[in-house]
Amino acid sequence: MERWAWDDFNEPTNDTDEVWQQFLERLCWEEGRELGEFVFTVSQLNDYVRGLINDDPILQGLWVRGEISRWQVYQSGHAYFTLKDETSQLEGVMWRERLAYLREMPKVGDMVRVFGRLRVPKGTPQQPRGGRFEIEAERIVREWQTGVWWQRFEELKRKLQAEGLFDAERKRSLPQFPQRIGIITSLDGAALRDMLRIARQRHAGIEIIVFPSLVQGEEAPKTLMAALQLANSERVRQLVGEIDVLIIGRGGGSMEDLWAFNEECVVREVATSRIPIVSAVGHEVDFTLTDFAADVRAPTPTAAAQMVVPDRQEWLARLEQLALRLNQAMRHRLRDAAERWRRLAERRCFTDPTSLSADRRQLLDLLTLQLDKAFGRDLARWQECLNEWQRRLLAASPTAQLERWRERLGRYDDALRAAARKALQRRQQTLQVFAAKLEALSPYAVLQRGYALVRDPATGRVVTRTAHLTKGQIAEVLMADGQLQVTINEVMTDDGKDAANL
Amino acid sequence: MERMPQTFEEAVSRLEEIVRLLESGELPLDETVRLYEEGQKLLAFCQQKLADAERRIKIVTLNNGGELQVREFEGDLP
Repeated sequence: MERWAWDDFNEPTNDTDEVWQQFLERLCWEEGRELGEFVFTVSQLNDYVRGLINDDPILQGLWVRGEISRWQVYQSGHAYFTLKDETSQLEGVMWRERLAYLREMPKVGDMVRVFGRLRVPKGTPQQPRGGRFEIEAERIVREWQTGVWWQRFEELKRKLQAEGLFDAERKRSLPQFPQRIGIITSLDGAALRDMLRIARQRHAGIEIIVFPSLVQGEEAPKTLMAALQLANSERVRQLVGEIDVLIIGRGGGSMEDLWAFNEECVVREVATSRIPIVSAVGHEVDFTLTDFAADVRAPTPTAAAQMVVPDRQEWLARLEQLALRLNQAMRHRLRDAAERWRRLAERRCFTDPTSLSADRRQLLDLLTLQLDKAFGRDLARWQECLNEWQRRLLAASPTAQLERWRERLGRYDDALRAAARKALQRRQQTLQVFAAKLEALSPYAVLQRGYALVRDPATGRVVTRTAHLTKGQIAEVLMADGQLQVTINEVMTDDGKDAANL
Repeated sequence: MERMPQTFEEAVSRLEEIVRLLESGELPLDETVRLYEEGQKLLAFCQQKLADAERRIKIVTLNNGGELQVREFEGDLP
């Protein structure tokens, strides 16, 4: 969370009590009184309370949720508002400068989330104020899932889904060992630093190309689109070489902050990226349409870097394993060959050459000599080679490193599980709310209150007009606990004579 | 000798193939020796890739005239 400078922010002190003790003592001294019998003036008391609030770290930066019950923008350009829930209300102010950043003006009745700090207003001789606190709002965002934005999100999601933009068949797998990675994000964000740090840790030999973009605000969708097009362009390919995989993302924020990643133009550009693309927008719990359109969704920018950048140590260990197997296989094969050679040499024709004719004996000597030369020399060479490899292998044991990655993976796994559990809980809560709403809308709930439904048993339809029934016809009456089958005695349509007599 | 692979991934998959072939123990000796030699070259190639020196981080932007600009990322990384 960014830290904002408040012009009247008190110097933070380590020992608040002591400061206030001194404050009181000074006041007493000015008034010529003992400490216990000090009488505050109204201003002094307000100053004291203001100090307490200013010194409280929670009250200096918090989110509060409520319904807007008053919203007035004064000529000065500042907005004054009231936030309420069932039993409480809170006054608030949003200064002109902050108001300019609002994406849409809140209205009375909106459920919102306000970020700000509490303050006790300071009066002037012309306009005495104080004696109450209010929230000085820095940001106001709609409560997600209740507002217009949620509808826009859902509509666009349905539309793009219907076009097949999010289809599983479209998803490409990421390269195992990319040479060059492109990152699209803000140069100023913590997300970029996190990703670069992880990339360096895993394998500093991978080239990283950053395509800077705005990641929030009105201009963000346009610049994100431009960065995506640039990263995929032939010009860039010729300039820096083939980019093997892209990451697009930013750090956490409110849904308003992340909104650029839900804009149709951005989502479409992500879906059509020539280069495989990983989305890394916000935290685990944040979902944007960019996530659906990308080939892979990473829960956070850090996780994206972990997915994309190969771990040098891990690969070294894998190579060492392969080297070991290669050498063992070779050694076995050579031992095998040597064994066969030995057995051949033990054959009778070799051990007892007298059994052969002189010509053949001569030929045999020649062959043996050649074989010895050709094979014996090679054998020695390979043996030497093997020894060298064995020495190198022993020098670099991967066991300790393997242990370290295993531990790291374990930690990451735990965090993922916890996040998944939390997300599931939230969805369950939402579902319960929807279930309760559905219940309230059901016609059967009305039956509980003493109303009845009339149904035509032939068609199964609910009958709403007397004209739809005729005398002598059989009808069904649905009540809360069951149904009746009735015969119509008489039909009286309402022109003064009402209702069907049963 | 087979052509040398262009990418790390290619090299690793060829190396794995070679190890499997050698472990089967069914190849003639000269073929075995040839593959072993190739395997060692592949190993050296892969290790070279992993030992690549630290690369700079580049920033690519378009200037107002629509020309590509490349500069290096300045700033400390932890």
